[in-house]
Amino acid sequence: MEGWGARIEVDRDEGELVHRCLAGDQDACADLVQGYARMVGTVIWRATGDDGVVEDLAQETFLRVFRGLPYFDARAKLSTWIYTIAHRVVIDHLRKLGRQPEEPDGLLRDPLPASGVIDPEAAATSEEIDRFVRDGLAQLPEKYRLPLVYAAIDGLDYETIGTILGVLLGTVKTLVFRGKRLLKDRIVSMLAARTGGNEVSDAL
Amino acid sequence: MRCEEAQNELAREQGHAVVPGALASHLASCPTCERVRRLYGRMDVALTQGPVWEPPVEFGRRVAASALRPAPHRVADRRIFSPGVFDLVMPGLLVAATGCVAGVASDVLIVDAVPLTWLCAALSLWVGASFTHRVIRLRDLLP
Repeated sequence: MEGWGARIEVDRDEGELVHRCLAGDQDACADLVQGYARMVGTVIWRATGDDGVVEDLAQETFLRVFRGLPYFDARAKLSTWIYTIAHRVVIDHLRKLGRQPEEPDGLLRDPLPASGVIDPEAAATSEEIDRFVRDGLAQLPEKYRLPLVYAAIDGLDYETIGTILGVLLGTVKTLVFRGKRLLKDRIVSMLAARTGGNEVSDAL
Repeated sequence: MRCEEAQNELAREQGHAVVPGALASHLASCPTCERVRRLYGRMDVALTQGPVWEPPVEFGRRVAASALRPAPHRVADRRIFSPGVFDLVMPGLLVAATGCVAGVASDVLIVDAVPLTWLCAALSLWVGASFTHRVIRLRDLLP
């Protein structure tokens, strides 16, 4: 009951905040930005992988938020609506860069690696695995990369991600699942290349 | 449980801290799938430990100030394409234009309907272009 009451309180506060923003209250607008800037910036940073553009794109997101605020449906969740706009800003940015990796041939037709997997803990340090994950992510098609990246952000659940991407909950789960498998295959290839193409090694 | 099923199950898991019974027993007897589980675990850690953005001081105030600052270059746009005014004026304008053209060209029409056809086509194009323009602008405003 306490949680439900708290949710109503949050909704009322959000409604009040939106109302004040629409009235042109600069403090309210600043509060709205401050309240969501961290998450918006994180979504943008992780989706673009470029910290140099985060501030500009976050600002662009909030300018679009304020332009669209008169059209905001009060029944919707303000945070989800703002993250959806952030996602669109990201998509526009990626399109401008012409970044749209091709869907790899034979995607998911061969779910298992040819024979086995190198022991990740023995084959690479934690920092190297992090780098492989970053490099592997950068090569994934946006269709799989963005759901995977969003799913790893603390505070974004699958339902919210579905709304952001405009897809059903089941589709989000499928995209994350496929994205993880693709990323795993990429990392396995990188580990194999790093260890001189030695694909299976129990000794590792 | 086959390796393919086990690895699919692992890809669906979050956190990989607790694995269901059937999967756990397969992992205990299959070193390859156990390595895959560890790899997924490392991937999850790397993904969740991604960067978190901290907005600069005064970011909120700065953005709020630019959002509330009037944009002079958009004023003309808004005046011409303001939905309320546009919706009211547009049908009347079209009826008036069609009436004028029909009246003026009634003699011509008897002989040759081609000019009126071209005019109607031009009007349709203009209406289509205007609405497309408005939709494109609204796309930026609506989530």
